[in-house]
Amino acid sequence: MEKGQTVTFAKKSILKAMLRNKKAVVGAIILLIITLGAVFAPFLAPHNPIQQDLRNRLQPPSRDNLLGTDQFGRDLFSRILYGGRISLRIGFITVGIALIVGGTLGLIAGFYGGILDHLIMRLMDIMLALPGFLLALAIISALGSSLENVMIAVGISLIPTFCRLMRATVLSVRENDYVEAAIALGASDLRVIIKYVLPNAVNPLIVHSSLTMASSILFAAGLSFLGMGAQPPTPEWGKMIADNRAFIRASHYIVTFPGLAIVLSVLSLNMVGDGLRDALDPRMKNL
Amino acid sequence: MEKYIIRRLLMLIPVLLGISIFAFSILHLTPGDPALMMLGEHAPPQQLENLRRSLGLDEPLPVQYFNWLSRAVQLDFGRSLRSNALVINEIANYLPNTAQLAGSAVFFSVLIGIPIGIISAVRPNSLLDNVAMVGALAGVGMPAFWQAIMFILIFSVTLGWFPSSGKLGGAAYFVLPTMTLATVSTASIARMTRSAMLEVISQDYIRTARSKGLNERRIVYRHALRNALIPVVTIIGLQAGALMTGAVLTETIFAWPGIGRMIVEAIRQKDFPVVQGVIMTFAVSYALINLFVDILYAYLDPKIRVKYK
Repeated sequence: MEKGQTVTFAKKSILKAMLRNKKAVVGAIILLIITLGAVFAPFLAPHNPIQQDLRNRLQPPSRDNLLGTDQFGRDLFSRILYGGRISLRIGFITVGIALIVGGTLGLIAGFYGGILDHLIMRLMDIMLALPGFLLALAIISALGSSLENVMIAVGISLIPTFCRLMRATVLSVRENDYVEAAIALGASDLRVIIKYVLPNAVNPLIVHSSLTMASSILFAAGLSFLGMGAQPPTPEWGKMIADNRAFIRASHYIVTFPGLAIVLSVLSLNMVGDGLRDALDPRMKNL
Repeated sequence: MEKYIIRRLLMLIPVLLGISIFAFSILHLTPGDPALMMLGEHAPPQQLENLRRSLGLDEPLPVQYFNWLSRAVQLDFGRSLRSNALVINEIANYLPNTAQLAGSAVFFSVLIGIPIGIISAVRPNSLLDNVAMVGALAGVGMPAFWQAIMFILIFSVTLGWFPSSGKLGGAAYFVLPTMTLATVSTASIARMTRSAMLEVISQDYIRTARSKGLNERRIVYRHALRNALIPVVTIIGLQAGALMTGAVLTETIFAWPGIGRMIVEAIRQKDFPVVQGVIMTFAVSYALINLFVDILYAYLDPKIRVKYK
């Protein structure tokens, strides 16, 4: 009973802290709109996102085409809505890969230490020897260009930071007397991990995930922009900017709006992430 | 101090070896026959055989790797499959252009980012602070490639002030690529300077300085800024990664003849020796920049300097 009370109390204070933070609230609202737009794209989109209409090319925004049309006469607003599905999926899948693989490796390294720790952390050092985007680019050069390969490449490039974060959390949790006591009492490794390590790791991992998702969306859009990700006619935001680029003299909307969509998603994820960090873990404020 | 530097240099060896294995295996991770892929499906068998032999593809993988590595440490990455030029010569031609662009971006982001951070910290939560920090947040979230196109649209297509591509000499060609590349680092440096200054300003010695009756300008520049700059130096170093990422995209858009554009072209054309050479160049530069920053950091911070005496 008492335990339940402290948990709800903690959650309420987190929510309160988040609501007090104006930036986090604005970010959360923008993110919610983008997510709803992406989820309900089939119902909200006024046109088919890949339906060409060559008599209606490069139109400025109008009542029928809210954001105008691209060089094939496709409705930009519909394409941006559907593009949200791709970007959010990329964000979730890449962070999912990094969270599962990186988290597990960090857990093993921190928990068992010794040679395993050494091997895993040296591997991470090697992965960090290239900036994340370049590592993803190099992986793509080996795997070939496709949206799936972008997710794999970006996911892999995000692994090291998750691994380091998890390892650091495990090491700090292990310092606690209650964990030592549990181990002394014969608690199994699995029990210690589930009961003590994971609950302590949740907050930093949530914060890191939301901030990383922002950079993952940026990376993936950049790779698609370079022609190494989504292939036509997929309505991916970065690819849309690349394909429409040649037509900016005729109509700048086709580049402006997909770019704004990327900026808003990245910005809102960063604002929510910063807010979560301040609310969940004041110690991380200056990281 | 020398001991520290030597130890750090030695620590680089295993990391660079790891990256070299990765760079080497790019060619072999690719599904299919590399020779066939490079020459196309309709290549005559004799030509395929020659290419396989010249790349050493008929030998076992470990042997291939050691051959490749022993040449790579002598800076020999082979010849470009497209232009047939030596990869290292191509890199030597293009790297200075990337360095110039990155250097000018760092210069301007320090020149603009640090004053913005100081002003924001001196008047926290003022209108100026809020505008600057929202701007900084947006600066970090803007995709470089989009921003570049917007700059071209505004300053090149509409106003006609600056050229939109190439590097034919003259400062005008630097303006738009530098603006694009400097945005992220300016934003990060401004945010870091602000938070470092805010932390220093709340310290006891600043209160002491105030109670001594020193004027505010002297407190800010002489007492606070000097201490706040230490973390700012590291963030400038951490920008190396962002700058390299930005260089790849910025150079591609502005047709800037640097190694960022070089690797993108090489990946598109499946020119593997060039890809491998440029990856190693990026990894070595990144490692050396980080090392340099750590040494600078140790030099600036007496607390760390003492530790490595």
